[in-house]
Amino acid sequence: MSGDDEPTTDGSRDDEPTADRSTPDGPDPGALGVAGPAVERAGHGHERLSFTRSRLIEEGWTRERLLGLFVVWCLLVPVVLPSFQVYLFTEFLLLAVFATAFNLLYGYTGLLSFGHALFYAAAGYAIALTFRELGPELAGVLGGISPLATLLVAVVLGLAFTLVIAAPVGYLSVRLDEIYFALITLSFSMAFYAVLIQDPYGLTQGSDGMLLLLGTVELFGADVALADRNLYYYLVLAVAGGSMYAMWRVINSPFGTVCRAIRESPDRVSALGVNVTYHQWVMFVVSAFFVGIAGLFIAPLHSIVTPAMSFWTTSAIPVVAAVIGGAFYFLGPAVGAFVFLYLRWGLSRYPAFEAHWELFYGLVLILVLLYFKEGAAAGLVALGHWLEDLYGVYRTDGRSAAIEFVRSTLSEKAAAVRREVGRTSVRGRRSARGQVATAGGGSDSTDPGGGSDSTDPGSGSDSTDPTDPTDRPSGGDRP
Amino acid sequence: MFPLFVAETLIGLSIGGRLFLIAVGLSLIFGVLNVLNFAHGVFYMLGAYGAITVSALLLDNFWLGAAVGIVAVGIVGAIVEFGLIRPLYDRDEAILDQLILTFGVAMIVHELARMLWGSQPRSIPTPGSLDFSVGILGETITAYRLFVIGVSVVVLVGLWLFLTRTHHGHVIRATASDREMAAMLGVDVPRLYTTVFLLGSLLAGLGGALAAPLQAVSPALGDQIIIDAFVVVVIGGLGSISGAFVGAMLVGLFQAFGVQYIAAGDLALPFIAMILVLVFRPRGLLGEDEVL
Amino acid sequence: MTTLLRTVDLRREFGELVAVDGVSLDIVHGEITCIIGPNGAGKTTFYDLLTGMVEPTSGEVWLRHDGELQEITGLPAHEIADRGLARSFQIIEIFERLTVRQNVQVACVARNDRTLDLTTWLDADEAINEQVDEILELTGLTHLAEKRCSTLSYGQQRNVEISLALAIESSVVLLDEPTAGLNPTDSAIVVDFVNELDERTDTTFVVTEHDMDVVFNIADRIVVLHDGRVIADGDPGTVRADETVTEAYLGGSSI
Ligand SMILES: Nc1ncnc2c1ncn2[C@@H]1O[C@H](COP(=O)(O)OP(=O)(O)OP(=O)(O)O)[C@@H](O)[C@H]1O
Ligand SMILES: [Mg+2]
Repeated sequence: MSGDDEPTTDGSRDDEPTADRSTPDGPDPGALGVAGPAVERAGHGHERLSFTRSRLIEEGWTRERLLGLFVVWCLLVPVVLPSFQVYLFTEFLLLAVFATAFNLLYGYTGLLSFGHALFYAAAGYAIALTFRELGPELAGVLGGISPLATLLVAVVLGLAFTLVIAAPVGYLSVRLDEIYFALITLSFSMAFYAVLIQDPYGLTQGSDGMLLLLGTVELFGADVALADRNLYYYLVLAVAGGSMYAMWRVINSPFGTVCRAIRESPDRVSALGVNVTYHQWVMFVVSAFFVGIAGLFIAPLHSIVTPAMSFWTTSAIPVVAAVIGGAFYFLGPAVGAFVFLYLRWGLSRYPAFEAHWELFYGLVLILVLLYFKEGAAAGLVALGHWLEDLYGVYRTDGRSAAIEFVRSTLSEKAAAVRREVGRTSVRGRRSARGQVATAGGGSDSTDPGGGSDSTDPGSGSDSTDPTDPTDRPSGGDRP
Repeated sequence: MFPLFVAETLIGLSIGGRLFLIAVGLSLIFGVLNVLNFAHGVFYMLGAYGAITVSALLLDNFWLGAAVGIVAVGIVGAIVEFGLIRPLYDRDEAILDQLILTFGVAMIVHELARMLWGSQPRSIPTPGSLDFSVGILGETITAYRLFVIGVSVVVLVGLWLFLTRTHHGHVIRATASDREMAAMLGVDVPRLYTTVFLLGSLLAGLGGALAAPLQAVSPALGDQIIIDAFVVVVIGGLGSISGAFVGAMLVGLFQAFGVQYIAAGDLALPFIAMILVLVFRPRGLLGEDEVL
Repeated sequence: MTTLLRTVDLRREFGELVAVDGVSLDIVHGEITCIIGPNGAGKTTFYDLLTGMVEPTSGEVWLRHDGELQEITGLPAHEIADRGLARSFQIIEIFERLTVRQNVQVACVARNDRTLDLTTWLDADEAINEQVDEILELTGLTHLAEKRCSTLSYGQQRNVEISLALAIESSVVLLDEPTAGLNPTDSAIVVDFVNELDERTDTTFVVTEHDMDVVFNIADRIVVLHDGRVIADGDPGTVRADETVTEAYLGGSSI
């Protein structure tokens, strides 16, 4: 169930208008590769785009195909990559689940939790405790297959434990908003951290943490080490694939859409008769559940759980991943997790930087916040469109036209970046005052277009609608 | 057992004084700018390193070193506000974006400190002029600790007078309670923001510099201290200066007594207190809306 | 003449200012009530009180639900909306980064009590999308369905705003200056579909307006608010002739 079935998720609508519905200024279905909220195409590419896209689809480059390729790649990872890389990729998959689950709350509901490490650690400790306490017992009863049974029991107990914590913590937290929500989640995770490190009941071995070894299963006379790198990789691939698919369904469900609306305007949603805090609470628990899954499976990978799992710096990981990757894209946080892990790995090969990878995250984080609010995912989507356009030019007008296309678009882009940088600093200089002029008071609504213009830095310069505002289908079924 | 309480109270006030110096700048900045500055902890750490490094360079004079360190931190703060935070004020999600951005700043400063000073903890002896013991009600305490308590009271009173008695103070309070109105009346809000951020950072630097002789200083200090500061400002009320004082003293006394009377699990108690306050009195124990 | 919505001596103070000052009104089934009054008269605050977004200082609000008038004072906003009181906002409150379709989907999901459905693929849900299409058709937004709201013109956003209020199919819909900022063509369209819905469906409308053409085009009854008080209440002819009203509007540029 490693996501193979994902292509059919669009179900009945798949064959016809789906592709078009998501272009050109897509309905934010969240998928990377489908235009996200603020990625608008440069005007010149529009017609060519539809040509290229249909051409590409004809030639078999459908979304499904791309996803299929990715799945094949995932299946081949242990075959083609060296052992350490398999480990790294396993870690990436789990971090991607962690970050995506966090983002259900941040990008999709508008709540910034600075305490999701709590659920990560809770699940991790749950599995470690289960193996220590129940492992020997089960071995006595079940013999050879007991590690497998223990793992199953640990997963169930771990998720149950996560939910038992998440429900009250979420209930108390969602009643607060913005900074206060961030602070209360932070304090819950830090309280848990303090308990783990002081270990008042002698359960968790304090700051040393607990070792966790999955053990070896005897199956049909053969010994199978559960922690075997490749075997464990496939296990994680299945779990992560399933989790990502489940979360993808959640955000595209009625519930997920309501939560996105809550992110935009809680007051408006409650005026529609929806209990906002209740839905935030449900999403909180769902989010914690998937974080729990990540925590459950990361623990055996690291072979140890320590209190640091619940420290606030762990909570910061998904925050950084989501922001860098792009919180308004379903796969944004996964992209961010990828950058996070592989940037660290890449830097570790240069001794001068090795110890200082956090410096680079800090820099990337700030740059993204200041200039690319849509994150890396938006960049990838834009890059994908650009490649499509390029391909279109190449197929219709030939090679030299393609080169010319590359040159002109690149210089255009450079100019745009320069403008954006200039604009941000100018805006900054005026900001606090500028706000006064547009701040909504009583009856300022008569300014057409007044408050309607979103100033997303990422959202291309033109937000004016090509279709005439007054152009309405006249009549309809009006008498 | 009266004398016993005196000892704990003195220790508690001393911890509280230090906590107040960390928290007050954070609270001031939040109260006026509505920015929760995650980098406040690393500013504190910079203040401590500044005092240690500069005093080593300058004739081993702690006071001179501390002064230079504090000013340097203030300048760093002003640059961060001017260059990084300011462009975000008019975003929809300004508060959260700024929180994450200052978190990025904290990561960078943390790493830079590690590059500059290494990971090994450093310490500095108590300045000679205050390195003696004072007896109070049968207990002794070093004069330097008393001095830190004194400084925190002076800062509290000084800020109070500044905000209530001076023109600039009035302008700051007016801007804190209604930024639009203040701008309409001709206040240069961006400049005022930078000034307040500078002031808050100076206070972080002051806290760090004065704490340098009292604790081991390492680049990770910021990560620890920012959490303490959050606890204090939340308990006292985010954005309230007197709240920060009350919160700091409560937490300080609590820690001093907790060590004695609560066998284990006392590390979690400040966080539990923080949760309770957030649940029942999100505006803090004092429940004030004003910066004071 | 069934009363759907009733206020009893409703009052709200903001510090010294009394924004709504002892308003007692009955909103009756099938009658379009227009609430007019100069800027700051308290119209929006009155709506806020009705919908539970602002707590009254004193007074009561009653709403017909399950066939009888029930007191709703102090209930949370979402429960009031759920019992059949919808509103639009004067300052546009729509889901900017969602498409027009998604905006209306949210309302229809709420109407069908499907907000806790975590597993259906929303875009493939026939029942909900049929309702969405119907609303979009009615408010003339069909051709914009897949556009993100932040890319729409002001008039189009105003239309989405109204669509949200209509989509939850409540017994009473409060519209707060639905034509503010619209050009005459667009306001005429709003007038048209309010009139149409009034006739075709069971919905009862309450509308605040500054544009007197609109008011006299739709109102069965006009209530005039001034400084938080009702200074006139009656059919359009009566109110037009009322002198206190002309005075309230100062300079008396007659209405
Ligand atoms: N939250 C608030 N705090 C303080 N005063 C308020 C608040 N909301 C409204 N007021 C005041 O209450 C009075 C009534 O305002 P309200 O918005 O209800 O008027 P209105 O009739 O809707 O005006 P308009 O035609 O401009 O929309 C105004 O003087 C306004 O300034
Ligand atoms: Mg109004």
